[in-house]
Amino acid sequence: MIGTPRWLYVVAAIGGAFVLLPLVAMATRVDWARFPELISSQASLDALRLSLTTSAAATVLCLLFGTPMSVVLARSRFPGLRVVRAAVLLPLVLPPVIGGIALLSAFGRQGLVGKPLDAVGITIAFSTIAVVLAQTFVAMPFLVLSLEGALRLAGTRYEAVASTLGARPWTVFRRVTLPLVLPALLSGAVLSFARALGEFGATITFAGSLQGTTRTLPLEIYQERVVDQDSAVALSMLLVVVALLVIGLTLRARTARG
Amino acid sequence: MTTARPTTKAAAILIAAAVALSAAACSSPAPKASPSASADDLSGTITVFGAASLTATFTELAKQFESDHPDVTVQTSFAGSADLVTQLQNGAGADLFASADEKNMDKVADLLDTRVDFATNTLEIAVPPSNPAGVKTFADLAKPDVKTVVCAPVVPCGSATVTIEQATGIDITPVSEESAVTDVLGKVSSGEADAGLVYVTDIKGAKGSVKGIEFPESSKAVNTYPIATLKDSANAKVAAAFLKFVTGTKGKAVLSAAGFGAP
Amino acid sequence: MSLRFEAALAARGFDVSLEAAAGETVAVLGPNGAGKSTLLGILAGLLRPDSGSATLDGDTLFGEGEWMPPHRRRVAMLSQEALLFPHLSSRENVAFGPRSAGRGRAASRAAADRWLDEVEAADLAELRPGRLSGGQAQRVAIARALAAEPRLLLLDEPLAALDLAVAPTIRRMLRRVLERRTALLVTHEPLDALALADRVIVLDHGRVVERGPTAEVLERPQQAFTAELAGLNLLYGTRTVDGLRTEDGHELAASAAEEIAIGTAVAASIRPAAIEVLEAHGPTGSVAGLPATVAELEPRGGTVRLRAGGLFADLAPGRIVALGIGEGSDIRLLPSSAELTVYPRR
Repeated sequence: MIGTPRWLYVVAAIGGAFVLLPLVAMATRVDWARFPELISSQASLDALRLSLTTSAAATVLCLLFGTPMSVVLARSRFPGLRVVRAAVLLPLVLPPVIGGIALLSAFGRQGLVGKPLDAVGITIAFSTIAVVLAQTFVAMPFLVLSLEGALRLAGTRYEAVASTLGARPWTVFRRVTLPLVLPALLSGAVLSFARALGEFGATITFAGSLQGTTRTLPLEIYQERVVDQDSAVALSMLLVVVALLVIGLTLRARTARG
Repeated sequence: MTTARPTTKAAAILIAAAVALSAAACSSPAPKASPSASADDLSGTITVFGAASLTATFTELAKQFESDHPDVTVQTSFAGSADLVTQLQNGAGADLFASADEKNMDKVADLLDTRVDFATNTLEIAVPPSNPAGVKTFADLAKPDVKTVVCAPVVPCGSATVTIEQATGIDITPVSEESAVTDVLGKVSSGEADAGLVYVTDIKGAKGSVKGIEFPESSKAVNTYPIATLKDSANAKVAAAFLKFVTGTKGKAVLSAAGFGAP
Repeated sequence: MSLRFEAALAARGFDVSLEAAAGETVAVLGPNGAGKSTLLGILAGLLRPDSGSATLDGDTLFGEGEWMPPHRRRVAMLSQEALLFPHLSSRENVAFGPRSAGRGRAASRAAADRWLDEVEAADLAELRPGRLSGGQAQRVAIARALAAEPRLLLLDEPLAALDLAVAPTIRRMLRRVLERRTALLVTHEPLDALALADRVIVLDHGRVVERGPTAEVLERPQQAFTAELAGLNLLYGTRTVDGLRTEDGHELAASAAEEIAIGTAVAASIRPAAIEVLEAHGPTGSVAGLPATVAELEPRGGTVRLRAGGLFADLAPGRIVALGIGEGSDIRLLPSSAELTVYPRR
């Protein structure tokens, strides 16, 4: 391309190789002959099912709550907005284990909200809900980041026109605001899903690890790698494939929209 | 900003001095006479891989050994025994390995030189200091409203749990299976769990953050802790000396003070 | 009156009141920054004034503690940029108003097709805005605004972004469309006002400077500011038998459309092209006209605009050469008596 220095490609190639090499190396370690058998143990299937359902649920939560948050952050003005935005994006830079500790402080059995709930018999810790909460906590910033930027860029002119044409605020949001930022919404959702799928530190700290209830695929891999390395590598490959599928499908959907 | 030149010069001197100092530190210092030193041709660094439950005791033992032998540095690395096994199998360089059970040590049998059993450990029930669920016996752990956390079966304390379950016929349905005994302890001490199964030594080392409840069935699963020097050790002499130290009187004293049983 | 409006917005130095009768188109003239967009914003409900009130067909838009949100005002806005929703087809864009009003899909689409027909854009129905030219998009935007059946139509310089070739067609269309509608047309182009508006108000720095029927304001302005907008020269003076005596005491021959008593304060307007430029001292010693010194000569396409004595005259370059004048030369300006129109000063 004109105007791009040649060495840029070299550096890019090195960076790309760095990212791809571990994945390729892992693929060579997989015992492909036994792959179906390795990934179809009850524990593996439970973990896969749990991972997919919790990540999907977490993504839905991110969309439901993250969209309004993005709108508020992008379009309103109030003192302390910057602080709120920083707090919302904090899980991006926080080590997930700290996220887990924070979640425990809030929703654990001794936590701010968890203690009164536990007193009436509702325990969040050690449940699948806890897994979803942990995943939502770490994945939300991806959606907000993607969507808020797009909303800022889109501006409010179209919404103003829609209002003068007689559309109520909810109609404006549904028929004008959202469709205009749909690409960012989709890519934010994909990122959130991928992040939720790979979530480990907060989950193991806050939700614990129990087959079928809280042991998602990353937790299962963590445990398996100690006993059966072949199994762990096979499951890791499975996770990579699932993640690639999700990302690939959504990119296709985006380009199809035009 | 003030003028750079004097600062740059000072920085250069500092850097040179630091380099010289570290060079001096890296090279083996000349042996010095020390009052309590025994066989003082021991020098160098050894790396000891130790099970998580040995963290406190082995850190203490390493310090004592170092003060006995000033030219020796003992580096320790603590993790779940199974984790350490994986590291060793993948070529991690260590001089000694102390495992929390024989099963894990057996996995790396082909890497071992000398192997000796040096301690035993049994399980004890840990509850938060207020014992909110009123746990008294092992059977109480199986009660549906008691939230019990155990080690995962692949970890030594977990396999001990399974052994006891099988021997007593009491099946605990835990709310979580942790990969390290320290995580079990953490969940109990924070009050997240009503009870957990950890080692006697963990309770002692917890210093009041959890309350311990002994149970007779624990004798059905006694974890024997072996320690071994590794064939690939870079400093076999010091490694052998440390092993002797751990299994000797001083070592036994430290271990039993922490709650370990005799091998 | 269909529309009564008065509002003040201190932050923009805005303080305007106006009225519009049902079916009337009022042009709002003024330079950039005069407050035209502020006016439209407040009327549409997109801006909140500090004080004031407005009613439209009896409904309070704002004032006395009340404030009607934009989507209930039935005030539609048309901007320079069509601002068609990029993700909807032209038809769906036009159907947006009816759909938002609660009409069913089929009925809305039928209405959309009718309005697209009205603006001669039926063939664009399926196309997305990205595929439309500026003129086509503006037509669809007009249809969209009208399909919402507004009580008041606000047009913010709708022809400004269009090619010169396309503008006349849209202007004609607007003329047809505005016939029986209450509308406010913001523009800085007097031609648009003359073509489309019944009345004109002139804004400057957020205040109304002059108002009245279009022809009157734009052909017989009272303020220099308005005259400049309309592209006319303006003189003040007193009525004489033949014309007027300027404030400097010079006598000029002029015509009048009505009987004006001698001595009445008058104003007189004339196009720049209707002022003759003569030598300071004529060959016959004539001293008719206004003496002045050339301040500036500005070439404009095929003519030269001469500025002198506060007046503008447009002449052919050849005339400049023939007169042998340049900046600083003394000249006489002689307005054509037939074109110099005198009218009472208010």
